[in-house]
Amino acid sequence: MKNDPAASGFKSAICAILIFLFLGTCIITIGILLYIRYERDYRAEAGRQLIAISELKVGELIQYRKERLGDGNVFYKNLVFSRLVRRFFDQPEDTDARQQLELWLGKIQNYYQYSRVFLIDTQAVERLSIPAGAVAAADLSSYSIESLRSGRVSFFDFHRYSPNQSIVLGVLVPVFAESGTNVPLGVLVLQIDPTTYLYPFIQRWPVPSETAETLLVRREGDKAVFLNPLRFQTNAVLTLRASLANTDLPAAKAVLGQKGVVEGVDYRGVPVLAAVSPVPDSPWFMVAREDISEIFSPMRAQFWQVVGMISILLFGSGAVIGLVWRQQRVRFYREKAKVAEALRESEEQYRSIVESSPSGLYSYHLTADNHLILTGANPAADRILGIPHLQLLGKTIEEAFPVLAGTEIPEMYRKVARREIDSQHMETDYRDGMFNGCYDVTVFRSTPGNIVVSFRDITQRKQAEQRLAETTEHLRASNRDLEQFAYIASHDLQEPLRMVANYVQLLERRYKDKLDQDAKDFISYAADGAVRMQALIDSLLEYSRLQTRKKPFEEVNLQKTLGRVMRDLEGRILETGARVTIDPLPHVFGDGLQLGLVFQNFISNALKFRGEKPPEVHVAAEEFSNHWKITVSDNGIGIEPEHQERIFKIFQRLYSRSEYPGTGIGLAICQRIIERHGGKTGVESELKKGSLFWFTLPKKGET
Amino acid sequence: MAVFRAIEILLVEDNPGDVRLTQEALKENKIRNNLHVAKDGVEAMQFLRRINGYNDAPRPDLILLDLNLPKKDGREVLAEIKTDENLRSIPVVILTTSDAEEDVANAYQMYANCYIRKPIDLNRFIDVVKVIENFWLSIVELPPNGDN
Repeated sequence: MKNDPAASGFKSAICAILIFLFLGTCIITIGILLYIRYERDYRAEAGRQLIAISELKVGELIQYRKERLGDGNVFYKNLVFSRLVRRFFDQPEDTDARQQLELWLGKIQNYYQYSRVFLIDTQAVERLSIPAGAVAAADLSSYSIESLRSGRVSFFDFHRYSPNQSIVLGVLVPVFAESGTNVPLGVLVLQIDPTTYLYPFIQRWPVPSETAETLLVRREGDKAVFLNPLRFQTNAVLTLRASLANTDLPAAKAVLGQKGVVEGVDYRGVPVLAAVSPVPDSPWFMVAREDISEIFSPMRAQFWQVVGMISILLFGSGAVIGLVWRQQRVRFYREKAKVAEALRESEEQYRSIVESSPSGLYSYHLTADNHLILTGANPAADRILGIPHLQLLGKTIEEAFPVLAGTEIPEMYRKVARREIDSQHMETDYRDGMFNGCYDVTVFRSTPGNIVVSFRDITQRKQAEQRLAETTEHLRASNRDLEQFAYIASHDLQEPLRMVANYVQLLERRYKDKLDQDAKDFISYAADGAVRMQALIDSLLEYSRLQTRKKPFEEVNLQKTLGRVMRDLEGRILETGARVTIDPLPHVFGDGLQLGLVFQNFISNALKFRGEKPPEVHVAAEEFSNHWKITVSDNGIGIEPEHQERIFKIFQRLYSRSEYPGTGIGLAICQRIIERHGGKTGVESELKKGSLFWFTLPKKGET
Repeated sequence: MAVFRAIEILLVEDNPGDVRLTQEALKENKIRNNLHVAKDGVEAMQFLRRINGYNDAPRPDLILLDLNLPKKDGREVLAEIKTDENLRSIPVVILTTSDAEEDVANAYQMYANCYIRKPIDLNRFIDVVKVIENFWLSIVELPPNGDN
């Protein structure tokens, strides 16, 4: 059902969840993408920083080594120095030579911060040392021999100096006799203590860092040897050796020839990011490394920030969707409650309509096996048929009303229920035990498979209609007879009347001289009677013709009609000295000739029944919502109230013919004409003051 | 002074009272006339066509025709006269008691020359006859002046 709250709620909840999931996915994806991009940028930036540091240091180391070789080259193939060394070696007692050497070498040692400067002879015996100190130089013998053999200034690399286990390195300068280049005298050793400058320099990191350090390594066979003190391991110098097979180690990568930014696990087993590169013209490799954890520690903050933002966004969108959903539910339930209330009111209303309906109502249900079952009825149904519906409920239509069983009515109802035909309306007439009467029945489909039969007892109405039709027919026939009679009578009556009148008058005419006054009077009365009789017959004829000579109605301009009447009455108006005033008159729908006759009668009456003053007649029209009222007022003799009704009746007169001649039929004719037009006639009058005759006519098109 | 020959008048009228009245009215006029009477439409047509004993009947100068007649109605008589080549030129005056509109309209439609309602007042009837006389004088030609 369309208003099931559970299904609707479930559906809207699913909808809200789907919207939330979609929004959430979007937010998370965007967050992750942002984070990845940010991390990539950050890693690249960290790499660039490591490389920059590494390159800086490599550059300085190269410079450092050049300078040290330069120091050595001062003495290399220096004739003055060679002569001085030879003098010193040949004559050890020559203090002058010794003093000169000590002064020279002392300057070098002091100025360039060598830990020790000393001379050894070809037998690797130390002959002079600044500062002075008897130190065995056994470890250096191999270097000395090598140096003398190559005959060039060279480095001796980091090694552990045996006597005191200190780490040293230095520059070897071969010293040759001035006479022949290949006659070696000995070797000048410029010994460097790395702890004074080199190690601090290497270990210096340009920015504060918890884990960053710079390493110097060299290859020894298949090992990488660490050359400087490590930040996280003591006594590592020259003792910590890492296998080159451990390729995760950045030091190994460097030694194996890689260059640039690498990721790996350092000697502590900690993931690091490192910049590796060889130091040119040396056996050294530079490793500038930093723990990944430290590099990305700001990223972690960033990560949590992103996570936090995503969470806030997710929570926010969830809350908004939830609120909207809740709002919708509230509105939904509120509307539902409103609809339910409206439905209840509507049902209540319909129930009261059904209960109080004057029409009988039966409701039927069409079952699957094509039975019409009576399912309900209203009080009017019981009242009209006189059968309590409780004893009919649940029965089929044929069981409930056996009288219908043989008819086509049940099948017709089924067709309506099946929607094969539209609503049906019929009038049925029953003359059997169950029903006696005439019923107006309407059957219509209320809901699918259900019909309502509405019926009224119209027996009395039918009988009344029947009686009315009969009466009307009688009336019509008698009217026809009457008109026929009036016509024939007026023709045939006139013939003998004329004979009487004419011969009485002929008698008078021919025998005037022989008749006395009485005879003449009698003849006069007889003739006068005949004339009056003819006038009456003429009037009767005219009255009957109103019906037989009626013309179809058309638009009539009353102003023109009255104008025509006024021309006909011109003589009478002049004769009586009357003043007739006419207001604007409307157009109406009717028979112009007959309406003219009404005016003629009214105005003639006004002229005829005049008082002592000259007649003043006024014709006016008054508009009402659906009709016009036309009035003809005069200043005549007026009519007493008790006689006002009589004057419209045929042959009714208020005055003797000798006072006011006439047949007494004029107003009757007027009334009949106006009735034909759907209007009314009347009079308002006061004796001796005047009369106001009025008639009404429906407005155009309204009959 | 011109002397008129007598006017030949055919009165078609079934009512003897009216016949007599017409005769009396004509008597009061100066015009010499020969009044012939036909009592119904059939007789009127026989007179006009000079058949069935009317072989010597004169051709009337004027026909006074009542509308309500036995045997053959005045309307039929009028129609026959007005469709007969020889008779249609004779003036016909309709005399009737009825002034019903349709009778009047019908009569003129059939070329009746005049339509007069028989008045109830004798004086007016005599006036009517005088009108007929004037009417006659206005349409009839003076006969050839042979006898003075």
